[in-house]
Amino acid sequence: MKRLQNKDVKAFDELYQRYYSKLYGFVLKMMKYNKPASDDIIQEVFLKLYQFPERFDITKKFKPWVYTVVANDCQKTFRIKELAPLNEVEHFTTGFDMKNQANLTEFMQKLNIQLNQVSVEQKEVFILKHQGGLSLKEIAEVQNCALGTVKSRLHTVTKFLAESLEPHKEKLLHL
Amino acid sequence: MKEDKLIDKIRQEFETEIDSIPVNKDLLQRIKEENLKKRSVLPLWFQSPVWSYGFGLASLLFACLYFFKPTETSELIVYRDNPPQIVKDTLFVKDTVFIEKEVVTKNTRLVSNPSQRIRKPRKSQQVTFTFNEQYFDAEQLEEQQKAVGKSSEQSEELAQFLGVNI
Repeated sequence: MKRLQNKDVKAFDELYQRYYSKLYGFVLKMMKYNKPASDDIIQEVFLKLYQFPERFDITKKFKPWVYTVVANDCQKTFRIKELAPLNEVEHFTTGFDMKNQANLTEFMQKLNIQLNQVSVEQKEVFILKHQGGLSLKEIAEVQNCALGTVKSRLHTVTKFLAESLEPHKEKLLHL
Repeated sequence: MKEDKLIDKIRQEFETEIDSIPVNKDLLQRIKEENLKKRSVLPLWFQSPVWSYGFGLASLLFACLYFFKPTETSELIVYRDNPPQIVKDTLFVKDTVFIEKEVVTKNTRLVSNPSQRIRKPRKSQQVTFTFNEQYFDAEQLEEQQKAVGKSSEQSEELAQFLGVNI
């Protein structure tokens, strides 16, 4: 980021290569596999990063910061979409966009459906932890809450997923 | 299902999913182009002078028209101190203007002063004598008749007194 702040274009390319897939995967899950919305968010985030690198505080870690920006954008877009007319948000309210996740494994499809049942904060904690690879402290920074809250949320969602996926355990684990 | 096994499986699936997402190079290119477009606003003035200067002149013209537009007072807004509320009054201009003089009333005091009481001037007898004819005021005569009485004797006496033939 320091290089990017010094107008080094190659530094941006490196950041993009390193974080694109992870961030896009996170956004896809948060936006319930709505591809157009996810594309918009990811483009917006990287554009901001490219145009205003000085907004980033070098003394802080980049990973939690970029996830904070993405998570905030997701929540903002989600709120706008929920306020939009019903026909436009059908796939948001009824569940995951089945067309876009047809290529996913059966396990992932079931997991996504279950993740859709929990609150946005709990889902965010779970994805940041197991997909983004963030520590609990970093997640607390992203969600701007106490460490205990993050632990509690993670425990709740893990327990819920274990219970809800219990009937399919044999089939899912051996896929 | 044990939670550890579940978590391992989930992580594995997440990794597979992320690996399956290709890096969108088109987007990277688009971001760079987008940024270039935003930066090239100022050089646009030099690149296409006709359009940019035309636009500039047009905006200047509109700005001038806006600022030098004559203002017409149609409403007079009066702000009163008490009560603290905004009162809007409309001022109408009429053809005729009525000007009323101010009447100054001075304080007067009535003083009772009998010594300087103004007396009514006595009515002068309106009897005119000429060499041949005598004229009498009919009103005065009637009054005198009333005061004296209406009997014939009295009227004769009066006539004698006055030297008049009835």
